[in-house]
Amino acid sequence: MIDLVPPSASAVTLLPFDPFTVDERSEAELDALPFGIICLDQEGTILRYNLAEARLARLDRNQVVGKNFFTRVAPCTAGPGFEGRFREFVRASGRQEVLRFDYLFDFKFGAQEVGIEIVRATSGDRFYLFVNRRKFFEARRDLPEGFAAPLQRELAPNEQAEGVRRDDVDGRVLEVPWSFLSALRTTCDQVAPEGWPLFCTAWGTQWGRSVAVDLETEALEAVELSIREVPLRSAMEMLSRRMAQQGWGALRVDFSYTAQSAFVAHLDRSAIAEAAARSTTTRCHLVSGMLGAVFTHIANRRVVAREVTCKARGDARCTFVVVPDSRRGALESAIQAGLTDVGTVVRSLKRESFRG
Amino acid sequence: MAEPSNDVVTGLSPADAERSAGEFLETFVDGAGVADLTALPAREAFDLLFEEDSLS
Repeated sequence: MIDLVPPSASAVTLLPFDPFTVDERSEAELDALPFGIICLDQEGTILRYNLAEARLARLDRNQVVGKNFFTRVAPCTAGPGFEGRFREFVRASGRQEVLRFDYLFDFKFGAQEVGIEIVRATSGDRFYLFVNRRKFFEARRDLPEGFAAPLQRELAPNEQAEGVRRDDVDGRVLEVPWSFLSALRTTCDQVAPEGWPLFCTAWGTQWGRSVAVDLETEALEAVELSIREVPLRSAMEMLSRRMAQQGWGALRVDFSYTAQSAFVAHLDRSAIAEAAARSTTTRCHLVSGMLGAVFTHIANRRVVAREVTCKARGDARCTFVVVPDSRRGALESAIQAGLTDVGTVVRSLKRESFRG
Repeated sequence: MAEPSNDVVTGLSPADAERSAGEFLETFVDGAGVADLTALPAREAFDLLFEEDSLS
């Protein structure tokens, strides 16, 4: 896990791996980082583009990979201050060093002051740009035609006619009816009923890591802070708003139990629970995994969420108890024992912990 | 269980609500250490263990 890079800091020094081995890192590893990473070949063709960069540049990486960074995607960099430095770095010997400089990215939706760090991958012919956003400004006026980066709809016009939908920051979204989730549940029940909770919790954890990057970029754009630095109330409101916008239901977080090392998330009108209809077990494992991953990111410590009540089982709403990972076993034991009252579950955790 | 209110966040003091999310949740996890009952006086340990079953 890595915090958002402070404005004055180096992204490279905070990487959880040797920056010169970045080429060996998976897409998922690069996507988990809350700052931009762009891989270029010697000519400037984009080879890799991570999730945070796509979100902050409001571009779909499927549309930018394969295009030239300096001429097609970020024409504001086509000059001595950026491209010139890059070309000089490419021509230099293969020494392992980091080229650092500051720059102003011009987008049509705004300008971004960034810290750039470039490293040469050990393969020698691929170059990684680490992009640390420092400040956000209104779009600059009176720029020459074609200077600011193109919008997503300019890179890929007529997407609507091609059946592509986008959200307000040009991320691709997919609208599915609840019957899609219902079909997934039915399939899992038929194919792997025992594996459903495990699969969905792990799936939700992966999803939650992406949600954390989304929250980081949203907080950075809105208040130039990491989500970890945002007041707790605002951070929870951001998460709740995101879930509601996407139609997962209404999320509320109750911190009344923190003295007992637990807190509670309520989800009203859970899309998953309503898709599952009547069930004898809880069903929102996907949300459990997602909440656990988001809270883990914010806490910078491992946290787990488990569903205690579920609308699919006939409860009034879905309720998730969130605890430090040290209490995961006790929480799961309480749920297995059939406890459904949050207060009782929390008290049982206390006892289990003492016994442990 | 109490009915949740319509507020997105409940159960926080005004001061905690304004603390940074990271700092609050760090404290939440770090403060969850398991109590070592053997280090406590017996009466205090039993009070902690059985406080919900108190006869009073």
